[in-house]
Order: sequence, then C-alpha cells, then structure tokens
Amino acid sequence: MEIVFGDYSLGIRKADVSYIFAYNLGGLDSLNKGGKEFFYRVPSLAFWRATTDNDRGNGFSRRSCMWMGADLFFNVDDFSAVIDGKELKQGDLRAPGNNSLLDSPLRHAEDASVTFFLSTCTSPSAKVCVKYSVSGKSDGIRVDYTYTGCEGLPEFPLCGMRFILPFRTESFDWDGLSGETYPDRMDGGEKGTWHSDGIPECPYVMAQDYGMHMNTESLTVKSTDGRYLTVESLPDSAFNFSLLAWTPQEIEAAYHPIDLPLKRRSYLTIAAGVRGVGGIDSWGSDVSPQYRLDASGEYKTVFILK
Amino acid sequence: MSSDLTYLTDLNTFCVNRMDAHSDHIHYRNEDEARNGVSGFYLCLDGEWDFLYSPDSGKREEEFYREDFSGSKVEKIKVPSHVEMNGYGQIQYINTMYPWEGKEMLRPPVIPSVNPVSQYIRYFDLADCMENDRIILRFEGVESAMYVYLNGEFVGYSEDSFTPSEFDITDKVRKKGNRLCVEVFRYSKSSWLEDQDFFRFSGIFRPVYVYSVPACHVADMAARGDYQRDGSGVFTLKLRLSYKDSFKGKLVWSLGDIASGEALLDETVLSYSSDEIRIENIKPYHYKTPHLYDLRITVYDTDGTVVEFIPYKIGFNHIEIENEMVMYNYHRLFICGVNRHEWNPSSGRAISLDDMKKDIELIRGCNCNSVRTCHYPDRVEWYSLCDEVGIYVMAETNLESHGSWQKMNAVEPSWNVPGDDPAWKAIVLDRAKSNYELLKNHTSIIFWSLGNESYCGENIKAMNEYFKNADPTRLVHYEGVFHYPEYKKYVSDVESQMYAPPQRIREYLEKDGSKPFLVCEYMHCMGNSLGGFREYDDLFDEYLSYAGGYIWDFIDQALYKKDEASGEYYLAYGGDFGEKRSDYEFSANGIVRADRVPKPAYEEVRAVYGNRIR
Repeated sequence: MEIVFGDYSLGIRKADVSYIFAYNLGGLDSLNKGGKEFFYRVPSLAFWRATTDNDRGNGFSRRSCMWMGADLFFNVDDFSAVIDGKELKQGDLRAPGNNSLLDSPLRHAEDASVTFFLSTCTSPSAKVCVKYSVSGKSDGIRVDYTYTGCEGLPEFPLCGMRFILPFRTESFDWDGLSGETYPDRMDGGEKGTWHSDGIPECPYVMAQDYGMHMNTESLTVKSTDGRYLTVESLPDSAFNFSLLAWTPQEIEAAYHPIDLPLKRRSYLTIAAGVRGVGGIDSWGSDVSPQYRLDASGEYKTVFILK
Repeated sequence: MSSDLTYLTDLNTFCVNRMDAHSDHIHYRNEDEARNGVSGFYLCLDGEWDFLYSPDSGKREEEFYREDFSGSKVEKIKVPSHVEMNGYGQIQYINTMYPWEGKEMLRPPVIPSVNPVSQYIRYFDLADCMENDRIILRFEGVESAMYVYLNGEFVGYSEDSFTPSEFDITDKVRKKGNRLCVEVFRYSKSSWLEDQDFFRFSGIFRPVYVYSVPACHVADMAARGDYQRDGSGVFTLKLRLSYKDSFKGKLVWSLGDIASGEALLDETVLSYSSDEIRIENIKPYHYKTPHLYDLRITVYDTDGTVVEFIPYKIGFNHIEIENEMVMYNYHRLFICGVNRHEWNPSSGRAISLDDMKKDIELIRGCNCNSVRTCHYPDRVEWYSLCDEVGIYVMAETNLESHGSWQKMNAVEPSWNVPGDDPAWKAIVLDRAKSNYELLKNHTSIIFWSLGNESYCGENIKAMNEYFKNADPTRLVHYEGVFHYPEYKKYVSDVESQMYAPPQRIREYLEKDGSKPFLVCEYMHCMGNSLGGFREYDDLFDEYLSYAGGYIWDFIDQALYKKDEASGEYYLAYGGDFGEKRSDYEFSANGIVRADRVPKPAYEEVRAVYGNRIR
C-alpha cells in the first residue's frame, strides 16, 4: 500500500482502491473503488432520527433536541495514525512535521490506521473516536466507532455514523432481519437474506423516521450506475443500519412523504445504539427503559466497508 | 309541512314513524334466489340522486319535498357517499373536541346555529312483483339526522347514523313515479353522542333499499346455539311474524340436519318459539374452526307455495366468566384483537364489500382472532363475514361523547352526556336496542359494548341492564366506567382500560382482580410505533385473568388528495383540508395504511399474535 502524507490529508492507495482521510474535516473524505467515488462528504456523526409520532407525543424530541444539532455539526479535536506499528501524532502528520516523512519507508506499508478524536456540539460535550484501519493483506476498511458519554446530556434517539453516498440506490440486499425493525419491535423480523428495490418510501403518512434494520450481518448497496458498496460485520458483532434518501432534518421538516425532495443521494446510517419506538400510547408514555439510550454511557460498533 | 326543526334538538324525538329494529336476516322469494344471493323482495336505490346543498339550514329550499317543487339548482350526487367527499361543505378530522370547538360555545343539546343541509331526491318505480305487498324503505346509514318524504308527504324522522332506519311507506307509495325526498342535517343533538375520533362527515353514506313484505313475513328472528360443556348444544328459535291481511299457511324450519320444527300460521299467530332443543355431538364454533349450521325457514301458504324463504348461519358457542377468567367454550380465551374503523382513502366511511373482504384477509393475515367495531355498528355485511371466517366481534353501540368530559387532557365531567340526566336515557337505550336487535343472531359476537369514552352514570348503567336482560348469553363491555369507579359494580363484565402500560395492568390484577382485565385499546400504532408489543403478550402467561386486548387500530384514516405542487395524489390526514380545529396526524394509527398496504408493525402483530393463538 502506498501512504500519501499530504498537508491536509492522508491517502492510502491500493491496487484498485484508495482512501483519503481529511484531517480538517475529521474523517474519511474519499473511498474510491475502480476509479469511482463512494463518498459525497466526510461521514457525519449520527445522533438524530426524524421525530416519530411517539417521540413527539412523549416529549422526547423537546427534551433531546440538542442532539438534532449534534447530528449536523461536530468538533474535530485531534487525529493520529499508526503506520506499520509506528504511531504518528497530529504534529507528525501535518506540516511541517510531515516534511520528515518524504523519504520515510512508511510511504509503503502493510497496515495503516487513522483515528479521529471528535466531540459533540452539545453542552456538555461528549467524545467520539473513529478509527479507520486498512491492511494490504485484506480487502476493505475497518471502522471502529466509540462514543464515550458524560453526565448531564439528555437521551439520544440514535448514535452512530452516517455515510453520505453520492448516488441514488437502485437496490440493496442484506443478511439479517426482514422488514423494518427497532429494538423493541423485532419479533416480526425473520432472519434471512433480503432484497429491496430502491430505497422504500416512508410508509407513514406523517413523514418520520423509518427503515431501521437491527442485527445485520452484511449489507450491499447497488447504485443506479452500477457501483457496489458492502458493509460487513465482524464475527459476533452484528450492526444496525438504515438506508434513506434524506437526512433526518429533511424528514423532520416534511409533513408528508410527498414533501420530501427528489431522491438525489443515499444516506447510510450505521448505528451503535437505537432507541425503541414505543407504542403504549402516542401522547405521553415513553418507550420502556431498556430501549432508551442514556447519553452518559459508552456505545461501540465495528464494521468493514468494502 | 316542511321539516319541524325542533326535532333536531328535542331529546324526546330521536325517531318518528321509524319501525322497530329487528334481525338482519334477508327474506327471499324462494331457495333459488337465496342461492344466488339476490332477493327479489329488494330494490336497491343506490346510484345517482338529485341533490341540493345548503351550507346553512336557514337558507335551504324548504319546499324541496313538494311534488310541484321546481328548483333550478338541482345537482347530482352518488348515493351512498359523504357529501363532503363530493366537494360540499368542510372535511374535518377532529378527535376529542366537538367539531364546533372555538366557533360557537354550546352545551347539549343545542346545536351549531349554522347547520349544513343536504337534500336528496330519488325517483323510483316499484317492481311489478312488489305491488301487492307491504313496502318498507330502509336506510342503512345516514349522518346525522334525516327527514324523509315520499310523494310530497312526510314519512318520518331518524337519527343514529350507524344503524338502519326503516319506514313503512305502504300507504304513500305508488306503483310508478315515486318521488323520495330525504333532508339530512349535518348536526343534531345526536352529534353530542357521535363525537368519535374520526373524520366528520354527513349524508347518506350506506345503501338505501325499498323492500316488500309478503302476506306473511318473519319480521324478527332470534336464533341461538348454546354449546354445552358435555359437547352437546341447545338450540332455540324465536320468531316474530307480521301479516298484510288475513293469511293461512305454515312455517317449516330446519337447522342443518340436526333439528327442525314447524307451525301452522294464521294472522293471529304473531310469534313462534321452538322448545329448547338439545342436540348431541355439536361441532362448536371456534376461531380456528368456525363451524356454522344452515338455518332455513320457509313460510308456505295453504297451496304449498313458498311465501318467503330465510337462510341464516348459526353456530354453537358459549361465553362466560369463570374464576375471573373470560372462558370461551369452557376454555380460557386469549383475545388477540384489533379495533377497526370502516375506511376507504377515496370515499371515507362509505366502504364497499371488497373493502370489507380485504379487511377480513388482512385481519386474519396477522393472526387477530377478534375485532372491536369501534365505535359504532359497522355495515351489516361485516358481521356475516366475521361469522364465516371466525373473527370474534366486540359489537359496539354507536356512542362516544369524550368531548363532554375530557377537557384539556383532563377528566372534567362538570357537564357531560349521556350522564345521569333522564332526558338522555331513551335516546341511548334506543342505540343499545338498535345494536342488539340488528345483530343478535351473529355467532361471532362475544361482547356487546356500550360505546366508547362516554364517562358513566345512570344512563350507561341502564344500557348495561338492557343488554344483560336482552342477552344473558354474551358479555357486556364498557371502558368509561374506569373514570367513575362507583359504577363498576353495575357496569361491564370485564375491567376494561385503554392504553394501560403493562405495569398498571399488573397492579390491577395483583391488588383487585375482581373482573378479568381487558385492554380495549392498546399499542397506539400511530406512525412508527408498536414497540414493546410483546410485553403485553407476556401478561397472558403471568395472569390467568388477563384476557387480552384490541390494538389501536386497524387502518389509517387518511384520504387521497392532490398535491397542487406536483399534481400527484398523496394520503392526506387531519388539517390537510384547511379545517380548524383539527387533531392533525392523530387520524392515522393503523397497522395498515389507508390504502391497505401493511405498515411495518403489521409483521410484529403477525408474529406475536401468531405465537399466541396458532
């Protein structure tokens, strides 16, 4: 693998795949396979879902609206890399530290990881660490996400990462549970391999969050122009995802599914934690305690993008 | 005379010349007709009617019923349909609040000063074969009050939007060239009792028939098969007979090949009762095996000619409470139910037989074994469909008045209807009676329900007494007594609550437990919901007295509307019609969408109910 030590970024180039990590933007800005780009923007931190009727009814969105902002913006506090076992701090990676890497043997490596230390735009602020790892011996890029909370924050509806894919989705296939599942509504999900033509429309008359898939082992997204992106779990570590054509904020602003913009991109959210939807009533009862997400806790997920 | 508008608010006048409610059996001229399902006694008047609309009763054409009326602005309307779905008046979705909230300060039984009126005109001829018979005019659903005229004369008046109203028009009808006029007022005192959480409509929204009654007619029928603990059954048949003139003949009946009887008839024989007939080795009626026996009743004249033939399907079952458990055929019943409003996204509550059949499929498809007809009697065909496939029915009376005692989300009954006021007693008892008499022969019905969210008091208590006396073989359900516990000893055979969290149900069953617990509305499936459903199912295993419940609800209430920006049609909910006030998206809480596409939650219902009852 070729490692490119830029002034703003770190690039990793393999035979048919390349990655560019943007120091200033706090993440993986480019995932390029076969000359085709898969990322429209740096992945964002996902902390919001478009308010469901029950979220509205029980006041969750009012209590937790800080996280809607945190879903849009985040702080980049620090970054570092490990190349073939050699740790490089921010100062080593950026100018003028990187001048010394011009003749370094690290420009060709077998293993590389880049870690971003991020924090949430909340008060108080919580820490998020995202580590991207690439190896010359295996395909794909491994992503380790860790949210470390603190006291004083309201519950969030979701925590994880959102990948902003520049294409429209022609179809997607996944190994996991059928249909739409949430932590407190999974009995109807049948284990198997499932297919969806395109991104489903919002099934609810009032536009709101939809399309969560719990306990997934793999996912392949096919774009309308023939690009494939695969997400794989590690053994004993299923992931949760939703693939929607809009941001939570776009859906939040819509009264009806028909109010939503045309489907121009695809938003893939991988969630370390998902709040239940509840259902006792829609005017006060919260979801059961075991299905709420306490923002003072730690949430982790790991998966491989190919 | 033109309509006496005092009827609209006079509590003593909720019907004028309306015939007594009776069983929904259909009489045919012979067995061949019955096999084809088309009775030659019936003339359906559905179709295009002449129509005049006035947004204000004070400006209506008062003389429209006169035969010499020559209105210039007569339009056309489809019957049955809601007038608001034809572009007249205002479509409004509103939940608890009365529809005039914020526009007029009213107390019952006063109605809005501006009352929209729909005037319908239909010309018809009798079929030749009807000419010698008594002629009955039958409306299956008109909202909310109607005055009926035929050939320039007043026929009668009726309220209660969701049960049939029949009038004997024999002395006014002509062989040819009848002019039927119906004047429908959107608001009446009944509006205080019909505050269901739904889109508010008016007009003739269910079918209209003229039918004829031969020389001897089974006017009412009560057939019941009681399943016994030893596997036998006890069958009873009671008939009420009517005659046009003098008559001689006989009546013969049979139930499959297991029971039969006959009686000689003449015009003095006004009723018939079989003995209690005990039959061994009955196949009981159960939701898994909905076995029904063919009841056949034939009336012959002295020549042996068939005067009328009545088929009906009757099953044998037994429902009771034993040791604070709801027992069905001597086994504990697990109610895996769903509340169902009648709905179609193009026509509102004017629904078709196909809509009903699709609902039956969807309800069975997610393993529900029971349906609550929230919060009014459905189109009568629904109950036969439930009989056939084995869906137990909670048959609810047309009554809901939550706006009179729930105010700003608090229980506030400083004034409420029907309450304790004797003036409201007859009107609600009539609703109970109309529900019972119409539907009493449907084997699938296991509960009579007094209505929904109408608080409690002497009048609700009287309704409970009515059902208990009329039908000791079924259970009575009412939830509203929860808010007035002093009446619990008089009202409802089950402890019914709505939206009780599992823990509150446990508390009742631990601390009181004097009645079986039924959650008549639970799992509010609004938008992305139905989380935690299995926690309720767990209660079946924890408590023998937990009888189950009814999900809220089956189908989203949303209507197709054109999006002016894109030109496309979408499913619009409350508030999308410019109405104020509205409870907006609260109209849509179904496990299926308004277009009957299952929502994701449907699969959860299928799985959890399926594990319980399969």
